Amino acid sequence: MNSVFDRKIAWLSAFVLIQSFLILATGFNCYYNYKYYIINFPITKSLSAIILIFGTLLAVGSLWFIRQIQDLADKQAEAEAQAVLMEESREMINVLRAKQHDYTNHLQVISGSLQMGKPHRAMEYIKEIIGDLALVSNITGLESPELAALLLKKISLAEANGIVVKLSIESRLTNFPFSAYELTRILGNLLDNAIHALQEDFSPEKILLIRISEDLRYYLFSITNSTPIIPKSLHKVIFEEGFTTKRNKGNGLGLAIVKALVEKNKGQINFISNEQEGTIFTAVLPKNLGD
Amino acid sequence: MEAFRTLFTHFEDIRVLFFSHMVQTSLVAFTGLAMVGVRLKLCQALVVGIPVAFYMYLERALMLTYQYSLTSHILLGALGFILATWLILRLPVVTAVVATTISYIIILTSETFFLMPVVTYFNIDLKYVLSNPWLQCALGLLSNIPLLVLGVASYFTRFSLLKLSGGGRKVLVKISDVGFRKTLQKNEK
Repeated sequence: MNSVFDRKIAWLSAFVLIQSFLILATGFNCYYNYKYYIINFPITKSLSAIILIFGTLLAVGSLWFIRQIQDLADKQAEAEAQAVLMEESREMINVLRAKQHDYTNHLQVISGSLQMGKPHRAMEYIKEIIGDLALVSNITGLESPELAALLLKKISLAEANGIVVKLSIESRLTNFPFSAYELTRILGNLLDNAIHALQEDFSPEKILLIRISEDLRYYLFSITNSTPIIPKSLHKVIFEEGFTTKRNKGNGLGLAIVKALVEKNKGQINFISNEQEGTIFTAVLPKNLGD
Repeated sequence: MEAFRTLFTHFEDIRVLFFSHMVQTSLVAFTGLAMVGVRLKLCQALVVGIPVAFYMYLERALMLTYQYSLTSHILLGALGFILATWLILRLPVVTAVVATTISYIIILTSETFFLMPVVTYFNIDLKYVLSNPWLQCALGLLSNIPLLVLGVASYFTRFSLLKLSGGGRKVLVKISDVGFRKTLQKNEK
């Protein structure tokens, strides 16, 4: 459950409010009909005043009551976001541990090359490692540790499946105003879809391109998978709940959730899919929530 | 025909529609939805407020014609609002219900503890108020002050009692995010 009210709690609030509103409206009717409009209204003035005051107190009380429920829901959402952060941090530590292990191997390879008197081989190897180091440094430079953890995890997964990952981070997301939980859900779903699509594809060259950038007013997140291409007949239904190409593995909620979360934050999600560019999903989020 | 003629005689002055009902209905939409965390722009509040104001104008004439109770009048008004918020803004029903109920609670409370004491204190005859459109507008606006204060406070402080889902805000996006769409097109290029 996030900070948006759970549907059942929202209906409970509506129920509580309607009850107190009805009593308040009845009190108002009794008191002012008695006082101003209908002459033979069958209720005493003091009783109608009591109903009116009771209705008012009940209405104010119910507003206070639903405010308390909202506070509880906020606290629960915060606790859940913290739990997600903890989990992401744990995964990030695991990924970094694996990288550390890799570097021990790399150092052994370099040391071996130098001992065998092949410094050129060692240099070439070092150049390759520098690329990998730059990638990790780019990701860990992001202001959001949750997003960094997610990217490290998904990139490791993609690389383990033979996918070439290209990363273009042109923004560190400083002062990013949105919930990290929602952002990781948006990008997590898009990355999962892209990796799954590339895994299932038989193309010899599988490229996943992740781009994070910003301009004066918007943040832009773009996930590209080189193949496969989404047929035009599916373009209209791709964001609908229940639509999936993963057969038994998917429930068809991923892109619908992404769309809902992006629109909730006054952003927009769209995609293009063609032979030249591959399939590109772009989420644009405004910097100022009031825009 | 006779019924129509009777109804027609009970319509309030047109100034009341424009200067009292439209202001009140737009404020009810703006503040009620702000209280559940859905921020409307002024034009969006008017898009809901104006049709409901016409509905209220008709409904008040019906009340005066058929002399039904104030409770029925209040409930019919609230129902009109819920339908308008739901249909025009395409918000979820529960959001429309809660927002409208909160607004109506504020209005009723302010009429009880703000407007009526003023009427009683100055010994103003309600029949005289109903016959004088400007006085009716002035008293109507007086009862809207708490709504206005809450709406303005919520606009500047982003305070809300609840955070209900805005749901599929198709109309809201169309009205408010024209510049946003242009930026999107640029990014796509």
